[in-house]
Amino acid sequence: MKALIGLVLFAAAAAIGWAFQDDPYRFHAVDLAGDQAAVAHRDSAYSNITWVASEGGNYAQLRFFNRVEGGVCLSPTWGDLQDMAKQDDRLRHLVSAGMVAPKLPDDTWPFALSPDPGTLANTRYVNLFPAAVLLNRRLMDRAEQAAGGPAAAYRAADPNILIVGLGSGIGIAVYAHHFPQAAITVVDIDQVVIDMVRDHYPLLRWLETQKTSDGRPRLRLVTQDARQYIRFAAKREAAERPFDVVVLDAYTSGSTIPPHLMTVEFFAQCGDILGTDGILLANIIGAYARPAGGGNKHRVLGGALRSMRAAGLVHAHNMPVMSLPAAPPAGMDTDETRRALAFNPADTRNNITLASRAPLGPRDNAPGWDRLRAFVPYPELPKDRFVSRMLGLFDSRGYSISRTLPFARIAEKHPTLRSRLKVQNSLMSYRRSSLSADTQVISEITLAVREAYQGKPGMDLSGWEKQADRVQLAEDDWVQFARDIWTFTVERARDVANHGGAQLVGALEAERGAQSGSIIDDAPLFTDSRPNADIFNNGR
Amino acid sequence: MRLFCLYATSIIAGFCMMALEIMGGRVLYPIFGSSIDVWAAIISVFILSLSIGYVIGGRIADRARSNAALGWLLLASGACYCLIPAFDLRLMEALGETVHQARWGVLLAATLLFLVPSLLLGAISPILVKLVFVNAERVGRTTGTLYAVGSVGNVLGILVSDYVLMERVDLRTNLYAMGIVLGLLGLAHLVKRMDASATVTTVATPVAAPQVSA
Repeated sequence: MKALIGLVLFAAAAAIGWAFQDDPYRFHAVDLAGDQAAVAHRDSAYSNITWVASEGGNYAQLRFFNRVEGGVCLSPTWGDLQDMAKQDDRLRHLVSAGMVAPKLPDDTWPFALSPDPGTLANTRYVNLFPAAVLLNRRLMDRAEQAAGGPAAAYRAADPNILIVGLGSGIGIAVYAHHFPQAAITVVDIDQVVIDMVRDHYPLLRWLETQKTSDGRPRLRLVTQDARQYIRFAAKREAAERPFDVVVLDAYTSGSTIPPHLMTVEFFAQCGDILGTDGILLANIIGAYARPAGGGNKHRVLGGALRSMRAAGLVHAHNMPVMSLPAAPPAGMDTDETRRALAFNPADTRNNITLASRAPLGPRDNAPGWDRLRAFVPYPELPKDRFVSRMLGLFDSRGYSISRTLPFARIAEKHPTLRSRLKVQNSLMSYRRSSLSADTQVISEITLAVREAYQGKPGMDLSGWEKQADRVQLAEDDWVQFARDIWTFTVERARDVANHGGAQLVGALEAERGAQSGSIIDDAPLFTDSRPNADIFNNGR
Repeated sequence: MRLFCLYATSIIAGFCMMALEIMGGRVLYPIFGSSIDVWAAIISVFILSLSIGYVIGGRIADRARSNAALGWLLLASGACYCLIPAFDLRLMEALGETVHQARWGVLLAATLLFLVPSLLLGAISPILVKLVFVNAERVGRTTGTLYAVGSVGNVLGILVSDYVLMERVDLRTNLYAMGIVLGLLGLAHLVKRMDASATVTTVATPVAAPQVSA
């Protein structure tokens, strides 16, 4: 009898656990695309990893739990790039002789197309990665000689690049797109992430089989802890030919930089594998001042800069990643827009932090910054073609209350609908917002959405039953997005007084003592003995 | 007073043991990083050292008539804590260079760095059990309390390390400080003699029989 009761209780617990198990994909947020679905999902020792794609949103993203670790535009597909290469020689380096087909998505994928992304980024900060190549004086001098002049000389640059942290692989794509002769090594701790990227990003799988014109592999993926890899294997290689760029982009699934990759000793080891003009580029989520909600994100950024400089990479400069211009566009010059565009030091955002033994800042490396200003991301790709068009419902305060859904299919059936939405001025030049607050228009669109998508597999219409105050169509041009982020970030960061390493964190260690009055005046020094980037990041 | 001293010993040893485990991750970081292999190595080395420590400590306990052995074990583990900073980096560099399978390198490093100090701390548990023993009627209660107190020490070791020590004090200072505390505790046990409970001899129940046979 006791055994029977025990068995029943156990069975009940097991049944509850099974029946109520959490959805591993976590597509819960209300303002996400309603047509997103999981291409593939796997768990690893470090995270819970999902490739998510949305055709309407024009993205394939790698997510750790529900956090986006990097995204690439679905369109242009790799196939599109290869077609364009027939007319445009500048895309030749992306053409594959044989087909590398994408691995078929999991059973849960409801759509017909198999994602085969190209190289256009769907994530902000990766668009800044080329900066580390363009600022490398020796590398670019050599490239200009080879190209016979400064115009687009970067295409002749042959950097050796080490990237720490793979994510979706979009960082590789950005480099591979702009620098045909780049040899990229990626070291990542998680074999499952590497497998996921190999399986569902065929362009990168193909790059692994390619060589530069002087025979270096265009892409190598290594599974190891970066600290160990840089200290031993990379150091042996650097003895033959040093790296020109080291990119630090490793985050745990809790959005923390692993603390052992944020210490003076580690930065010194990075310095060991860099050539004399080599540049360390780190993606650091941080702020310039204590964030309004509290926390220590400014000390994470300040600590990184101070520790890099203490490790001998004394020339440092920080580029906060911006998607808005510094001054209002014509016709929008009001106090309100000026306030919206002001740089708020307490905002937490992605920063591209650069450090080198060679002069780096706009004053000391003027030719480098001229190259940054002349650079145009994705110069071969046309505007107005790789666009996401998504419809959504909003409440009176402007908050999204529904999933956003692809507009294209609705526009086909209702060609006049668009003219009833009014185009709104936007500070974001890559985005065109059109909206209507007319209840008649809202109900027509709601009806059209239901007709088009109700009951269709993979479509989530949550929120479309609600009473909305307005309907909005957001059209994002991803080529313009990349160019805006590049221009706005470079233009803002030219201000040495606000973004120079010494101005941000003060004098070098040997000359410290006298209060120098820096912007981040409580920047800690991260050492192996106190590697506390994780503790500061978590707000203590 | 006697029981209080023994429980205090247990709590301090428990604290130092888990503090070393948490900080062990940061000891291994500079060479081996923070992969899951690092944590697997640390945890398995600590559990293994406990299991060996229990066996050895149990044998010592059977022979022990006083707390002298306890004192020596604490003193020795304290010495090990203080020695770690002297050779950790050199040892790991050598292993990182020569052992190309990262997993084996980190397992070997964790073993060489942490097995002995945590084994010594594990070995004091059975001796403490013998010293807190009052009579067979209460053997469950006294050992239960001893385990509980030791585990509270473990928890404090983890949380205080994370929330206070690692943030404010550097790693090596922490290791030296714990080593000195353990050493002083060991000296105290060597100076202040405590005999194993006389009541042991009066016990006739089978439960305590193995201890009587010592």
